[in-house]
Amino acid sequence: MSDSILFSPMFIEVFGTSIWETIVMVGVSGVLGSLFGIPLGVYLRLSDRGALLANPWANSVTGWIVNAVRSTPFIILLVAIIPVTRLLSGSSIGTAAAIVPLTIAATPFMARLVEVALREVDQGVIEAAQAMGASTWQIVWKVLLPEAFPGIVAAITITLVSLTGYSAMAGAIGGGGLGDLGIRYGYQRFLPEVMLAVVVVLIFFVQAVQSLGDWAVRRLRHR
Amino acid sequence: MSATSSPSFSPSLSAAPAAVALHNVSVHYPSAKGLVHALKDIDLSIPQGQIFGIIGKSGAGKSSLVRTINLLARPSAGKVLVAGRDMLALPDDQLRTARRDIGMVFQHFNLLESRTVLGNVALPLELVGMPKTDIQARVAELLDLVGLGSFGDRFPAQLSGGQRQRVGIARALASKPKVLLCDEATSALDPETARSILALLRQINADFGLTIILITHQMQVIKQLAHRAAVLDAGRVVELAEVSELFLQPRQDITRSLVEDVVPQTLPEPVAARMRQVMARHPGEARLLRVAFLGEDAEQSVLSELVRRFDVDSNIVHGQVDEIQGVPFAALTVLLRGTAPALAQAIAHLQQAGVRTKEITP
Repeated sequence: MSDSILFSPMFIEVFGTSIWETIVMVGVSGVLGSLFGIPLGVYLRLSDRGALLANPWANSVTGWIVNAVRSTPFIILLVAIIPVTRLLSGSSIGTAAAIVPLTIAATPFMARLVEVALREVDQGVIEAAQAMGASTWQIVWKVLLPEAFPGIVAAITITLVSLTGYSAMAGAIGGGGLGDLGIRYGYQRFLPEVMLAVVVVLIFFVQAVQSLGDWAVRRLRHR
Repeated sequence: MSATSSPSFSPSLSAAPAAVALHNVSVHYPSAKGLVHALKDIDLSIPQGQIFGIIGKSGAGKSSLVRTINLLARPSAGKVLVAGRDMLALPDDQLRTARRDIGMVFQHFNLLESRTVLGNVALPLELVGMPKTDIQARVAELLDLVGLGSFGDRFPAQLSGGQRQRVGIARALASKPKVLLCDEATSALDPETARSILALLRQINADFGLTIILITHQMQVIKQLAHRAAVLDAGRVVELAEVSELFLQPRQDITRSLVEDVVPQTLPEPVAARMRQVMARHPGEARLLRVAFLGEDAEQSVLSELVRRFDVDSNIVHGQVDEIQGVPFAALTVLLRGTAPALAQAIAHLQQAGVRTKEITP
């Protein structure tokens, strides 16, 4: 066992770098995906039939685009948008480059989850705010978002977990990270213990993210 | 303020601008089955300081009606005046300002789960950009008013239904409205809690002269709180009267069936059967009357006087003695027996004496 590659100092360093790359990819695309996805989710909610800014036509178009991106398999999205990636990150390979497709995948995913979380907010509470003379902007900031906040945190958690899976695919085009490590060492060099170690670390990573998210939701929810 | 002395829609009052006036308000919207008429030609004028009830069965249009007042539902036709202001003519920003003059209390409270009691009551004040220290003072005052002074840091989930509704009322009063709309405010509460909420609303009305418009499907609520009430059926106002009138002399079938819960409108079958027997045995010499007394009348011995002055026997066969907001009333079914001329005289006397009298057949 002591001659296993897993315990060589060089490999431990590689492993550490990979974990860090995964954290960066998932973290940055998670933040960017939330930054774009939450407003998009709010718009989907507000533009729906009968809602505050009802605009069925714009709602359908936005919904259609969101669905289109979501139904494109990530591995295809990854390759298909290489020109965009190169434009935005200056390169089509590397961790920074992987963040572009990850963000593009995370945004519509997040938007739909946020839309669902906002739908959970009782219509009566919105009506009460309207009766108080709240503007649409005030309803979004003072009522909808705070009331849906636990749901939005849950949405961010799910998005981060999904991004962890996607980041492994991004590794395939040179994004680095744990997935890349698993494929290069575990699959291509046939080192099953590396593959196993990668999977175990990913399991713990996802568990940690999910537990933290669940804990935050429990703390935030006053039901 | 008693029911009898409450402002009515007498001509002298129409000089003061009504707190709320609806003119020919209709609400209709398209549906799969064609145009749905939720409200048809509603005309109402509610004077300042009055507690006005709107009662009807579910689907009668009560919710739509109360929502046309603050334009949560926009009428398809007609005019809505609140404190003399034409609501439908206001641009969006002015409508929002006008809505601050109209508080609203909801059946399911509609509090923000994410905010404490303090935060909920503070919300309408935050919306108008009131400074934080002023908000704190005002919220403390409001929570004291509704009896929740020590509950400020609780979340709605930690409160009982009655306490949540008190928060709802404090929130509705935060912006010092001129009119308070209550949408089935006590329907989700148990009877005892409901009574305490109604008492709070009455106190607010008495202390601040706040106009209250409440909608309900329970005649009990009207009886305990309202000065005047409108009966809504299929989107129309079918009856509108002082509450005591509504109880003692309901004119429409729908009103009678609503009043039935509080004041029985029909004889129980065993009593009716006995009356039919008596009247069959003495044709022309027994008559059945429904008489209603209100206020001092209820204490006067009109019936015994009848017996003394006209050669008739009177027998109370069924009835109820109760009070409406402190004013005693009696609604009795009386069997009068005597010769035909004596009966006619006695009944004429009752009617002359101003007693609400109606002959019924069992």
